[in-house]
Amino acid sequence: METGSSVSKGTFAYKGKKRSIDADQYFKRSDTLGTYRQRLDVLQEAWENIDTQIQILRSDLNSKIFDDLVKFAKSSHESFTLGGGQIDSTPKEIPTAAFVTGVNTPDHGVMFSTLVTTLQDKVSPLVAILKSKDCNSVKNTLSKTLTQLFQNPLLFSEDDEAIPGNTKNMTCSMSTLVSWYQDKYNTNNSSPKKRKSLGGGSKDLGQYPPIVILFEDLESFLPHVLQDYISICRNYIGEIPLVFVFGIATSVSAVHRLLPNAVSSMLCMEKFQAPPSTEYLNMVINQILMTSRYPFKLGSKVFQLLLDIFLYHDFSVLNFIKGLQFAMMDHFFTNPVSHLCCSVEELEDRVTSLKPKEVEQVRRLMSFRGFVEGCPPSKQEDMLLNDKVTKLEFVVLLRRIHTYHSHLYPVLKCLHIMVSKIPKHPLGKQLREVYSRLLKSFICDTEDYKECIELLRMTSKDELMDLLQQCRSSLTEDLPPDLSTLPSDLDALLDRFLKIDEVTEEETPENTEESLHLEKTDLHTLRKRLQEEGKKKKKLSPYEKLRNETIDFFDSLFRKYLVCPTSLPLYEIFYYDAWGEIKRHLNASPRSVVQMALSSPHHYLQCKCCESEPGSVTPSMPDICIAYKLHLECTQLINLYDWLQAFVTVVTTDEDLDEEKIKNPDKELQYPFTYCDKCVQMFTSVIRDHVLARFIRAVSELQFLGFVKPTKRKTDHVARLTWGGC
Amino acid sequence: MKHGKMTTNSGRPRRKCVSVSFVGDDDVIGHIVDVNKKYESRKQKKRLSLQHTRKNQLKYTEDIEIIEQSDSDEENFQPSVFEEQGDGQVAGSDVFQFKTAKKSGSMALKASEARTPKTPKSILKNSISVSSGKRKTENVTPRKGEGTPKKGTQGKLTRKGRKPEATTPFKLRKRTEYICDDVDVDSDSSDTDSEDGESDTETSATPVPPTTPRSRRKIQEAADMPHMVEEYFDLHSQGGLSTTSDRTLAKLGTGKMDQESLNELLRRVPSKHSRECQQMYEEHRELFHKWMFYMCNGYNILLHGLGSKRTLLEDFRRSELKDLDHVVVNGYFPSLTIKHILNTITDEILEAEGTYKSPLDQVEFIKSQFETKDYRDFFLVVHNIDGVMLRPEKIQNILSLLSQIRGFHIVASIDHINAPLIWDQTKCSRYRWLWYDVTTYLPYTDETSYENSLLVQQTGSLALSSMSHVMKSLTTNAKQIFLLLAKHQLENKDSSTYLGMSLQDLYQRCREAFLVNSDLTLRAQLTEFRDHKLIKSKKGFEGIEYLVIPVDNATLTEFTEQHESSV
Repeated sequence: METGSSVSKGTFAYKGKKRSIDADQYFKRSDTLGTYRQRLDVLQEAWENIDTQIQILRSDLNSKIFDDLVKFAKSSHESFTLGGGQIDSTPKEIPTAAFVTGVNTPDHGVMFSTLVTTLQDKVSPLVAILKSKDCNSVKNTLSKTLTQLFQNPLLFSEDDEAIPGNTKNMTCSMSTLVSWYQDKYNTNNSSPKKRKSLGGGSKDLGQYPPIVILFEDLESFLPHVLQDYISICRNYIGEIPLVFVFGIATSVSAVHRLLPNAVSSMLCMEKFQAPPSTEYLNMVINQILMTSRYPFKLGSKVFQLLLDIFLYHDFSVLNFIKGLQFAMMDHFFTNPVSHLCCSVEELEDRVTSLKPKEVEQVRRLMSFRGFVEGCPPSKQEDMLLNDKVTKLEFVVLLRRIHTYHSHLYPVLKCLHIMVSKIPKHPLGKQLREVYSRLLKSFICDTEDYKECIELLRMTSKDELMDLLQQCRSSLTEDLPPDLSTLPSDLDALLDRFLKIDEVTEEETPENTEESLHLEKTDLHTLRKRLQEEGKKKKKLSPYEKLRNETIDFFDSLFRKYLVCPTSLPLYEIFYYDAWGEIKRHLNASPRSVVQMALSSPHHYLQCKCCESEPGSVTPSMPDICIAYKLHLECTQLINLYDWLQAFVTVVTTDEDLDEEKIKNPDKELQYPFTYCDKCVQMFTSVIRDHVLARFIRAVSELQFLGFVKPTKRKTDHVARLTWGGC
Repeated sequence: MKHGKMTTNSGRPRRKCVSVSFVGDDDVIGHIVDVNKKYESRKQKKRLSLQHTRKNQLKYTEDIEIIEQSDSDEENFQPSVFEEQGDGQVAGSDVFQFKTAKKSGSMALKASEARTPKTPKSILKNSISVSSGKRKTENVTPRKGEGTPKKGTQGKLTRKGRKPEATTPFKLRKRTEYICDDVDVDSDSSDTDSEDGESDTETSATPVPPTTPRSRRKIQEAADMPHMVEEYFDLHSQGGLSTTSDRTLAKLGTGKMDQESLNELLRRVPSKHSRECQQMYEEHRELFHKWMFYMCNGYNILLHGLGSKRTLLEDFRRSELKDLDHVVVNGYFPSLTIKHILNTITDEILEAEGTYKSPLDQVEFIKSQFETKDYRDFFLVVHNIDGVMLRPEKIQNILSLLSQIRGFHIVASIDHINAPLIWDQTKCSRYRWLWYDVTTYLPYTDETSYENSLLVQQTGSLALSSMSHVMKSLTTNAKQIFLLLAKHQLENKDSSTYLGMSLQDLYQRCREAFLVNSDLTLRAQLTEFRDHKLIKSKKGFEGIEYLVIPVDNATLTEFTEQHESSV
């Protein structure tokens, strides 16, 4: 069936025989070496591991704030009794938690659904969540609330209630809810058996579980709906224990912007601040990218790009993870030997089972070639020709990367601790910044690193000891054998620092005396002078000696372990660095693509004829490009007639006339010889119609793309909608 | 900046504060105008050029050095999101610019430039002034190496009082400007033009050895800045209407073409670069399995780039989805609604019948169908998800919710340059798009066929069919009322002052024909017409309501002829 230009229908359905698709077959088609099966397995396994880890992190992250919220919801109606409202006629306020969630709205859906389950588990089965998209009127809002409360599966473990069936015909009002609630929990008092069955899912919910109503995106609710809803609820607060949770993306002041004073005074608000999404991101990076558990790693450029998308676009960790997943898929999809990117245990088997073709593929990796060139000539030949030797070498090299990873991260954390407090943060404040520098180049050769070491050599004792303590405590995880002595080394250093305190006692007066000599100078000369004096004296204080020793110790540690991954042979198997792919597919800019295609068609067509300096027009370009380039020369309005003329000037050349001759051979004879008015007229009218048609098409395409639009300000004019371009 | 430079030239006493303001200006203007130009080339090149500038300026001011250092520090910080892609992406600064002044003849000038060594001839002019044969022959005979623009444009140019130097090539002029190195640009009248030309060539030219021209450019650019700001405000104060000519398409002497003859003509036009296009198309086809793989993993595919992507998507659908459930949606279809899409899914794919309170309710239903039963894959192919009818926020919201359903995949295309604006952050992340640039250069034949193109005469076939559809469902009396209105409009088709039929008048006539018995019944009937967009009402000068049928007369005549007999 043709779906093109139907005038009666816009949608067409096709039923297929198959019900589901299999990723295998598509993966297979890109395969050149027959390794697809293994690669896909590795990919799926790796992604599953990472995914579960992410889930764990997510629940960990919010556990604290959720606990607070749970506590709040529990405690807010502790003294509630049924019928209390009638006795105590003074109006109460609705307890409200203002839950400030941050601007990363894409992540909120997941967060709130976890919150709902947590609340249902720990506070009350009566939880309703409202989203602005379903609540465009008070009636909708109420019915949404009530259906969620009544149809709660937690409540109806036994079939003694018939309410879910008739919710549809029921009038949705607060009083229905009140009578339902009173029915339910009043009878509970008299019949303990029933009560037990109700409370089955949730242990100690108290006699009267509060009704928690969550507003997921408070800012997008219609103000009047919200106001009415709150006012209605307030009227019943004496009869049922209501608790609100407002999900606020911006700041608490949004509540006051939405609600007038009369309404907001009905709420008793308490603020809860969710941890910022950067914290979550740090966790994800630390636990997934910066660990030796998962062999897949992001290269420097991709890592930086994903970070920048996060920091400059949306603060959404979900999107970061999406990028990570895409990177993984692309890595395993495009790299035919990526199945070697597996854990150490499987490594040897995988390498020995490599087929000759695959070995050849690995040999082609740039880093391996560099490695071979560095080998002695006798070995080189073996490496390139003898598969057995090469395979052994592969195992050694890949193992080396694994051990490198296991050393890298603890040491990197130490480096971060050492440099994060340094003024102006030459290596960056966050661990991720230090990590991204490490990925880029050998960090110990950078100017910034040297500066850091210089500055560290000037730290005071307290600071230095503090740093050492922190390093020591960061090294609690199980360390690789090479690093196992590191904690004790640090302890020894710390011990010596403590002891030095007693020894240096006598030297301190000398120092202070000296500092008194200094006249009033600025910092610069002071520093210079102090340095000079330090040189002159030659003799360092014990503390300074020890400090230098400590810094040297760290410096050598860093230099040994913090090698740039790109300097290791075969790093391509673990590191994914196709920056362009990620950028094109996750952070595309459609407009610049269109404009590029219009302004320099040769870039896409790769033909010689359209190659010209930018800004100029050649007749060989596609029509739409010509029309586009001409329209760039106009101001806000474009005269269609002038545009057409210019278009014709560009398009009609001698060749066109020739072509015309071929098409209409009867005229061919006439044209060069008998030059009469009539034939030229016929001639031109044929061409004119063609050119006009092409022009019309080009203009309507430009209109479709959004570059021009029809205007009524002047007859036969169109308005330009964009500026810039060439 | 300008100030700083002036001091060095005129030899005024150098002050330290001058150099401070130097960087400030540069910085601020850099931020406003074209910060990206500086980042165009790789960082190393940038440094290189910076060093050059530094050396250049060191000649006269040594104390700038320290500040320049801090400047370069700042430039080092460039998040990679904003970095250009090296290989042929247009820089943001090229895409998003301010309005610039253009002289009215510049389009024609550019057009003639495109074919300077060739024969300049305007066939259109020929067709207009057929009688004067002499000029025609003159036009057709090749005049080599002359390269004069068309008569009309030249005349206009002189009329506008442009200097004859306007015909000198841009580059030459640019060079002379460099040589004289005059800071006082305001006095130079041809300045605007050369500036445009310059920015055009400079921005996207492959970086020539960044030695002297670069550093010079920096000076030049800075000198232009204050001028550019003034120009911006000048341009926006005058309204922009004055510069276009008053000629209209009526001068062509031919009527508008209709859609069919246009299509017929276009079919015969040989397409340029068909070989290259075919090659590109084949390259895109090779991505199909990749798309399928990513869709298996929960991503959705979004195609963008110049040229119709219909053929490619249809191809994809036929080759990859032929055994699977899928729905094709033409987003450019003018009367598409979200209900159509949802109904097609529920009725024809899920084969479930039911009534739904709202589209959201229907989405819930679809979701439950997909997620409670065993896993199944479903594909929604949307040609132009940025189509006019799909643009509203609510519809995109529903589509994005659909895309989150397990096993529900979307393959879509966009064409409008501002299409991504229809999604906010939340929707974007719900969709989980993977963007693919599939530039095809194919004509948008189907997509634009519904669009009311400016130059195409509307045949009104669509309007006619929709009118007939509505008409079938009406009562006899209602039909008569509508016909009465239509005939009245046809009777008055020649009068230019015809506003429409007044409500009172219509009521009177309807009563006479025993079609209605009260004002109320008539109004109820009219509301129905209005709902189907069959009529429009306007308020006249005296506050009387006038009724018009918003279709052209030819269509209306045809319509009345069709229905006269049936009623």
